[in-house]
Amino acid sequence: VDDELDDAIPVELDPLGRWGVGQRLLESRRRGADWATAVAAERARGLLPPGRLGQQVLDEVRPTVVAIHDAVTAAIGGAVEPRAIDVSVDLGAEGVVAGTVPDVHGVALVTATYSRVAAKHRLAAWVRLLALAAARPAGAFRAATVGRARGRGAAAATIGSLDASEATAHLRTLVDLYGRGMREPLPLYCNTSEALARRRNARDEWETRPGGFDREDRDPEHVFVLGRDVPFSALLAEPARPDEGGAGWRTDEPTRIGRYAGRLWDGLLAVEERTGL
Amino acid sequence: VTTPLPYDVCGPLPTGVTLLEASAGTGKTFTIAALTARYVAEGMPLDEVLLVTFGRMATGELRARVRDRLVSVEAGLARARVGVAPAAADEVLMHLCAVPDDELVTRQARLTRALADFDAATITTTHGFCQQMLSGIGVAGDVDRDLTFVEDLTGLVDEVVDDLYLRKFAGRSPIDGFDLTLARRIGHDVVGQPAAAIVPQGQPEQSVAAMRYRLAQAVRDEVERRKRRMRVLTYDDLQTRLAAALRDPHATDRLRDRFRVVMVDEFQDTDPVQWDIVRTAFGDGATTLVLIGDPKQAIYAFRGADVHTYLTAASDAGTVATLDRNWRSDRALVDAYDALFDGLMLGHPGIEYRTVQAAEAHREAGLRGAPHDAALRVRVVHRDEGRVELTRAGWASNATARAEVAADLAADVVELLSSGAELVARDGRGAEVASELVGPGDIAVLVATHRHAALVRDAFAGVGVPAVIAGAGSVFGTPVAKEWLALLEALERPSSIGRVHAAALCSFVGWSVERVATADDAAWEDVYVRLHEWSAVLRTRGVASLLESLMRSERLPARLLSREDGERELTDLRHIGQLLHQEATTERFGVTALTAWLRARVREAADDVHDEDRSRRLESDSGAVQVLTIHRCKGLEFPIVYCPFLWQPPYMPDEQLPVFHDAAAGDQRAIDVGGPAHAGFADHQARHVAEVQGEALRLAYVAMTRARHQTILHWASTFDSRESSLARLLFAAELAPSDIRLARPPHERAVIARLEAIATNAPGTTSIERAAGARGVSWEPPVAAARRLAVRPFDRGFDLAWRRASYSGLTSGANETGVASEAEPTSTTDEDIDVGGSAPAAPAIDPQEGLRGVELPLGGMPRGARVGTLVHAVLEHTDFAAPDLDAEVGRALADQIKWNPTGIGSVDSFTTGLAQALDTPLGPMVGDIRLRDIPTSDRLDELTFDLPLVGGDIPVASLDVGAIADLFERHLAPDEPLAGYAVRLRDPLLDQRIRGYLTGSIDAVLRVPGNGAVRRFAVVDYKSNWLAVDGDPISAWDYRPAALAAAMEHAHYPLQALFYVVALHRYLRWRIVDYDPDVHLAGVLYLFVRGMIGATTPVVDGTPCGVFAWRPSSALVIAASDLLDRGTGADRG
Repeated sequence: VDDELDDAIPVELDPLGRWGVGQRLLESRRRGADWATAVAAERARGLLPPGRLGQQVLDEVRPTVVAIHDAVTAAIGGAVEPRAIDVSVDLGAEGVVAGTVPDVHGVALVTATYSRVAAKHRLAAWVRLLALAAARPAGAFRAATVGRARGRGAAAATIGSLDASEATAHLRTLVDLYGRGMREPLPLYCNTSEALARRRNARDEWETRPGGFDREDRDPEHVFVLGRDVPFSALLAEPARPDEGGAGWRTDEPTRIGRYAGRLWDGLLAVEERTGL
Repeated sequence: VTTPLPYDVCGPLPTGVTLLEASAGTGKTFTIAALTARYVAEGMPLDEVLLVTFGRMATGELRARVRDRLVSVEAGLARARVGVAPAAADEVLMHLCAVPDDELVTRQARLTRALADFDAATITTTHGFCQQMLSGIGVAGDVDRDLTFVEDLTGLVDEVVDDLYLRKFAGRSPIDGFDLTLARRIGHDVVGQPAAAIVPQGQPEQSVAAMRYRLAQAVRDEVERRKRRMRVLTYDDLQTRLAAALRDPHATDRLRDRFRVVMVDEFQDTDPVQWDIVRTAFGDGATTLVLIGDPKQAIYAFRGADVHTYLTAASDAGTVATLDRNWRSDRALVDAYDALFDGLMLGHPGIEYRTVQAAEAHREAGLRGAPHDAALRVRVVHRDEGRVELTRAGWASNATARAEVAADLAADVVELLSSGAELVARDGRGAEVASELVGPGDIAVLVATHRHAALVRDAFAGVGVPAVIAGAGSVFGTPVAKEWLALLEALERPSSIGRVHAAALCSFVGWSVERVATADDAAWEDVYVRLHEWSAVLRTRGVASLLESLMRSERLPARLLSREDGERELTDLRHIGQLLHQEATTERFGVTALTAWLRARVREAADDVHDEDRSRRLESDSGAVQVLTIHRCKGLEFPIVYCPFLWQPPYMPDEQLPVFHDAAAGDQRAIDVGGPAHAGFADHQARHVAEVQGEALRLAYVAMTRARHQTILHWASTFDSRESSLARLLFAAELAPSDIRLARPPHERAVIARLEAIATNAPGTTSIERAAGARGVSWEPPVAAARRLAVRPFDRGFDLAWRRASYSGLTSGANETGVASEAEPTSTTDEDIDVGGSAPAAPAIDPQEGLRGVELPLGGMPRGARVGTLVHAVLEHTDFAAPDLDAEVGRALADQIKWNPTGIGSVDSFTTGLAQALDTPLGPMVGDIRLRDIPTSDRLDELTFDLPLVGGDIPVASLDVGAIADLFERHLAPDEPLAGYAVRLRDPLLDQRIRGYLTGSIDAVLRVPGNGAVRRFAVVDYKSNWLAVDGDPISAWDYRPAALAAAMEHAHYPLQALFYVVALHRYLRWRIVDYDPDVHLAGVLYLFVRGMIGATTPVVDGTPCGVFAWRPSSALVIAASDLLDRGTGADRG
């Protein structure tokens, strides 16, 4: 809720400020504005430093905006107006998954962000694609999430078309997780669980280093539930419970956090293609 | 350099410039107080003595100590006169009494006079001194009146740097390595060190170093310019301007004439500008200047103190002497320090440790029965115990060593507290007079940083020992601040579900997570209702009311205090509430602005360490270990002191700009803004580091010398420990003067061997221990003998008659219409008005009937107290003498109606009507002057008064309303307009006894022409009363003199008028030479503005309508003043 506007002229942008510039320019381009128009609008917003100081920022973000824009255009494969598709999937006793999936260009569910393509973006695409595939079996939908690569250029995570029954099964898994999550705080932290599921260095996603950017151990909701500066080893210490096993669980995984990571990510990781991430 | 001689406080009094070097515990304040007493006794008037020290708290203490000393010497002299010899221990008194009898009498008289005039003594802070002197030398001091003092220039400096940066780079390509962050750092550092010269000068024009230099200069200049424009002043500016003013010899002479003896305490914390002032004004030899300080305790370089200045002054001083007796510490501890520090220089060749003698009283140890009773204990962390992580090279890791030391410290305290050890109190000769168990309150832990303090506090929490951190950073950095924020956010939008849930979790509502998750709609409804109520309280009555109603309705104290850390939380919660209230009141913030303000404070809390108001308060100072930073412990002493982290080197952030002293430039302090690229930087950086390291040695000295009986140090061999103060003290012999670190970190074994070697010079004083404190222990406080608890009965009586009485308070009981001074009678009938007896009952034609045809422009103005308040506010803020009065009233109205949104009917008739009222002649009493003839310089708005009634705090007599009625009766002739009032004042409902204070606020006092050049003073009270009969049209007739007199009496205004005149009488009596009420008191004007319609206001028997003028006789005024002061007889209790 920190929504106060600074009344001083911006002189130098912090990383969040730079990100904002890139994101807004990308959105303008996606809506069809040419570069000069997008820049003029951004200057008029008053969030860019004046003169050369602002130009410097623009010069810096431009290649990335262009690369992401180009990658998105390629992923859509031509100029197609995006549409929003209403979906409703009946899961019987487990309930109904209903909602609207935006940004569907033809059969391509394409999302563009000036951020790095992060776990949360990929999960969002996954859930939407599952819903589309389950609700419209004939659609042959696919998904692409495009963002900033490490370094320069664009990165993307893509998922090919899914079989409807397969998609429904994955949805059931997610709905089961949702139900558990509504009953208690689960040891399921977005970036940390993704790294854990991919058997990468999950500790670095969790623990904030002195002087470094905040990691997930500093997320307010995690601090609220677990306390501040909980070491990763403490997360690993909790063993899986009896009802957290069986089909769709990594039964060879002793830790609770590992079980949940697998349960959430395994389906996506099996079909996802990642370039430049 | 020769060793200075010990100073004898009973020797010849100092003359010229004398420097007293006073090591820790040698009685600096004692010496100043003793010298002051001697100067006074031996003939120097106290108001010619100037005592300067640093900081408000130190000043308060010095003031108290000097006064106590004067009192005890005066009493001692009095006893000596009747042949009672002073105690042998009081050498100063002995010395002063060793004179013939007639001189004894003279001396005692001098002290008596000094005590009587003690308030005139100038005992002040450096800044207070500068301020007084600047105003004392008048226009020579370059300071405008009405300036605002600011302590923090951060916002201004940011703004200046941003502007300069933008100006430079908006139109050209940025330069590598010159970003805004750097520019801001340069700006803040050069503004924060105003006395430091900026270097490097003369770099190549295009170099980055030259650019940085130019920026630094430009920031200083621009900040100075903007400060002047904004009319703000920092405390540093006071000094700079006084120093500049003293270049004028006349100004210097004026200071010199005022003071013949000047003593400056804590002189090691002086800076070049202060010394310049003191030397210029008092260093000529004619004034006696005594400088007292200890360079070994110079630890405030970060806030501008400059020990080099001290050293320069020391070399200039005519006499240098030392205080050589330690009155604080046990002999064993003094001996242990002598062995440890002997021959060492603390960061500068001129700062030398000098051995001291323990006082006779501290010959024996003051701590008895402790598990370890050595005076100095060193607990060494052994890496082979396996309790600390090791680095690859095998040294202890910093973090685990700190944790280990904190744990050992906590365990050691538990052992001490559980041992039954006692502290022994002794008399002046060292004989035991009392003893008591060592408790947590007898222990202090001294650390370098707040982070270390938190670590230690947590360790104590783990073993059940109560501990408090003194000055633990900003209160806005606490969890409670976030709770307040959650509450305000919810009150801002009490319908937002997210905000309400967040608020439910904080202490104010106190729900658990489970409850938030499972509560039903009815429970939530209850929360919503409460939040809406609180929101209304906040909106209408402010933060203070909100906090108090929360305290009551939510039983906050009970709920919070039942938690382990509840005292802490409650303290912070109240503290933040008070700060919020202050901000909301002074800035007139609504809930949204207040929320935004709090949010910004919370965000900045980590950097907000210097603001005293925001610094967390102690939740409790009884029975808890005190954890505090060394910078804060200066001047304090504790029975037992732990210094657990002296093996850690001082923190030196890489990005900090080097501040150093340039020996080539006369030890002038300089700040290098040029950056690493220029040639001199490496040298400057090295000097800077050496100075910081030197100060670290002095910090260690200050920390260790706080103890009375025992000091406990810890050691851990980390890689960094080779740069630590403790290592550099222990292994000083291996270090060249320029070395800032040992070649390699010392091994525990080397440390122990070295400590043992040192200890042979002070046998039996030091113990070396393994830091292997027991784990899993905790402290059980001794249980006081079981007592039955019961609710305490309330059996005190209240003096219900004592109060701060006001006119409206006194009359409210009797006045059925509830007249307050602003409100008006809700119904004023003919009968009521006729109480005065002016309207004839006969149906004869009233000669003033014609007045009924005179319309009043303000007649249509709505009635009620709110309009009255607005009228007062507008008049207060109107310049009556403005050429375009309508425009001026309109402007004031537009301003004031923002704060008092009130329906006033037609704005135009309000404005014109008030302007006409200002244009109305005020009658013969004041020569028919009009308000618009009174410039603002001749009026005083809202003169408030608090007059003690019959003795004030302690009533000495009795006073009742009847006695005031007597006065009216006695002094008013029967034909005077208010003659009937005495009867009305005898209303039985008014009869009450009054004690305490009489308070009130006079709308305005006017200065009007009198006889010849004499000016007289009139009390003005504005009235917006509606005096017409309900349903009748209002006209000038309703405001004719007779109607006004009746209305006056009806509303008890004569009583108010009398009080006001008495207040004015006293006010003038204290200020006007040759004051005479007959000459200077003009009288009282009750201005019923509705009836005042300008030049055309009808005049009846010489008196304009709407104006009620009364000149109580001087005899009545004096009699009333005396009555309020003395009452009518002995207090009847």
